[in-house]
Amino acid sequence: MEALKPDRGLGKEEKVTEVKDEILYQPIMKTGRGFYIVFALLSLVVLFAVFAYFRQIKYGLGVTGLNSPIFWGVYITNFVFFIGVSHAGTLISAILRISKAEWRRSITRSAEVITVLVLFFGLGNILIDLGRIDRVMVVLVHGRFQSPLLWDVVSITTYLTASAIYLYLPLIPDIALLRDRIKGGLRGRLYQVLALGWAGTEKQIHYLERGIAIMAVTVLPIAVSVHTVVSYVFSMTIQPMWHSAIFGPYFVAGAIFSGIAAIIVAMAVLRRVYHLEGYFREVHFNNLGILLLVMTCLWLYFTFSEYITVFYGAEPDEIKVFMEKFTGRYAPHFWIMVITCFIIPFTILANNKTRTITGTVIASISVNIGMWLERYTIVVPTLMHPRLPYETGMYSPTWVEWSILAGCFALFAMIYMVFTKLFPIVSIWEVQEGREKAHDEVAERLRTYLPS
Amino acid sequence: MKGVNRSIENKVVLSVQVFLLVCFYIFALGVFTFLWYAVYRSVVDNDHPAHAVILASVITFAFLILVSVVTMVFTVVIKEGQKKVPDNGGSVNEGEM
Repeated sequence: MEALKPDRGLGKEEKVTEVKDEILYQPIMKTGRGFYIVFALLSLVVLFAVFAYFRQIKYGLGVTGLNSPIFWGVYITNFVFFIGVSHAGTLISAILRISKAEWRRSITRSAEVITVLVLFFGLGNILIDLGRIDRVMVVLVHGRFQSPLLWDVVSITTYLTASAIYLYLPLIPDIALLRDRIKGGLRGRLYQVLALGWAGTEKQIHYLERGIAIMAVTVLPIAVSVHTVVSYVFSMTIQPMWHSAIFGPYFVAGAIFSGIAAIIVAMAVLRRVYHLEGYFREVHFNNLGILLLVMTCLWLYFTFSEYITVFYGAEPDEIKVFMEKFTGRYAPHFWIMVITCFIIPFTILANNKTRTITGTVIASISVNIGMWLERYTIVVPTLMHPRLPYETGMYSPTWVEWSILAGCFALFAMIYMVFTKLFPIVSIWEVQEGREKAHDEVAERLRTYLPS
Repeated sequence: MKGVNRSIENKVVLSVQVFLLVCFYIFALGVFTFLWYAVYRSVVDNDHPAHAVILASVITFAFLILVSVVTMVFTVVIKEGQKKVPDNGGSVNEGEM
């Protein structure tokens, strides 16, 4: 509890703790030249994406590869991918918090930020896909709850709100620490407002902890429902290879899979750039690597179940889509997906010797590429062979779509960078609390789990 | 003079904090309006209102939890902060007064 008190005096041990954690303030207090260079380069990518988007607004969706019957492409793929990655933070952080996994303490913040940011990009891609952005009002004013598209709107709004609250609550004590360090200026005022007058009183600690606990429990069903509802957008239709009962859990498993991979990549970058080797340790990568390995196997199981059912059913419309993925135009995408989502990560992560930090990061990058391709091979081939008597469609994304995709990733990186400059990317008070509680908890664990 | 300035600054900070809370309430109110307006339309148009009622109820329940948590944390932390941190928007250390 002491860790939650920003105004406490420093004892000998606490001074050591403060010195130890000093590095967590460094990204906020100092900004090197590298930051500005990377920021400028990313800005160029974003500006080009903005140019591409304005071109799309001016000339319409005709500048994309979208056509009839393939009316969903890269944007919807991005939407499903980003919403999937959003399961990184809140869901995983909530699970680890509820299960009292002690090793979570230094990684939860970096994961929770990913969640809140990528949700905006998920929603943003839907708006881009609309073509005419003013049509959003049609959804708001004339939307019908029979449509899974509207279920998506409300569930993602709820998830975004819950995730933002879940990110903010544990930030309050850390913002108070910054408020006490940085006086005056725009930043000082920002911290003063956002700290809400946090002083670490017993009552404040009690209510904050209660709030975080309620949010951790509340956010879990919301997160699961979000990706289930995203899958319903596809499975509630009777399109070939979309109308599947396992799409809900398949999407949720895929989301957690790509979410864990995203956390690992973010942790590796932060560790390298801000020298946070003491906070993002081998044990974190190893534990998340094992989780990723479990999800790799689960992903293979779901994918196998999904495809074997379609193959044995051999329903003509479904087989067309199936063959398109296995041997047709989308075979390269499909097989690269299998290699990147299973063969590479499984080979690396199943072996203790290769499950190092570098190995885990390579596996995670591979998984993220594979999961984007998975979303792409779910969306496009089905629309290429719809059940209705359309001509077989063809779809090749144009430079506009690729630019906007690159712009999304660049903008995400930029906002994430700005966040690390404003707030501690590792929860300082949680780390300190972990140190304080460690001995008692180990004693309690030994007393509870082992025979006396 | 310095004390007066600090007091004004504290009041401004407190006002912004309350404003943030009010903004959140307005947002939540917007979500409730959207949900229950959709329910109203589905009832008036006899357009399968059961779908709308179930969904609106679930989301309303979720948002009520979120609003309760935010209200609880904001009010307690701000009130306590006013008592304990004189720099941060409140009367100086109420406990000692």
